[in-house]
Amino acid sequence: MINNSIFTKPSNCIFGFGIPNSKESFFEDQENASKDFAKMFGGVWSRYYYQFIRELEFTEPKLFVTGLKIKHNLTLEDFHKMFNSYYVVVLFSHWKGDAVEFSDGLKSTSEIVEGIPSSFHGILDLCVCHPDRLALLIREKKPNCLVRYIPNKATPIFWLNFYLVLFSYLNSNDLSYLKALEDTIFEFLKSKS
Amino acid sequence: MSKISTIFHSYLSDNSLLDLEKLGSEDKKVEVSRNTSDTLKNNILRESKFNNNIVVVAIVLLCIIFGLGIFFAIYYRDSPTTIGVIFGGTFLSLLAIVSRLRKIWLEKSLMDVSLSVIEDMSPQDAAKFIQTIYYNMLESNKKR
Repeated sequence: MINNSIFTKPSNCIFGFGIPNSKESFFEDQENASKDFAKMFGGVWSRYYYQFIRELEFTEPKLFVTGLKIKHNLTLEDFHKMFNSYYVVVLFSHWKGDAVEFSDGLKSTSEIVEGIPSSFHGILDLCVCHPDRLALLIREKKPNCLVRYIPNKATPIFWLNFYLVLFSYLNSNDLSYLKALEDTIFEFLKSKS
Repeated sequence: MSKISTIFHSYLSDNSLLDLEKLGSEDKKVEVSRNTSDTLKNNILRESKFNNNIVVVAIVLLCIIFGLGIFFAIYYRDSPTTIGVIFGGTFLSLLAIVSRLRKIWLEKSLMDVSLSVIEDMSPQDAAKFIQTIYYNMLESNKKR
């Protein structure tokens, strides 16, 4: 069971990007049949840069300051290894059909769930937009792993700013991840209305 | 926003190429019609002609101000204060016209290049080209 009263600090968390974060990987993904996100930008790097990378360049140094670990070009194997060393694993990626995009391609929900260690007693935060099926499968197969996700579609810019607020809040307060997440969602909803 | 970026903006907007992509968005194929490509070419062509006229007017104005400056400088050659004012005024007017002319010239060059490039491209490739220029323009405007 997850203890909601444990304070979480960003240094106990890791943030992994399954979508490309560089010009090279963006263009490589255009040719890769098992990739999808970069293709949505029609092969135009400047559009991708404007809609995602620019914001990443702005938020990433601020996320580092909080003590958060960040992993780029996340492969499925890297993702599974993260569960051995961190209490909170955040997957920032793209969802398509029944699969999530990693640096080594789109991976099915069963492949993703299989590699999550059964001994993992932490939180998996899925920032991949409507990953309902994946969340259900994890809850069924890995009952010790608490899955969190917000079932809304949003732009990468929105999510980067959301996590920047969340981790800055965690860094400056003694809170559990779940409490910080709840408060951050509340603040975002308040600012939206 | 400059004229050229307004033209690009409306072209990209008509083809849904300004939409912000979301994590988890469904795959959508954007088909750029020949029609919107032709409208883009016509808009650039029209704006390019207008800019050409402005360039001619600005150059004529430049010559007139320069000529007037020389004329008044000779006419008031015995009054150093007046000559100072005339030179100062002429210099500032020329500076204003030249800086405006520079902007028009840059825009005109971009229009000419865009026109000549998209002329031989398929609508899909032209859309890619325009997106690249447009987003780079947005980026460089932000850096200024």
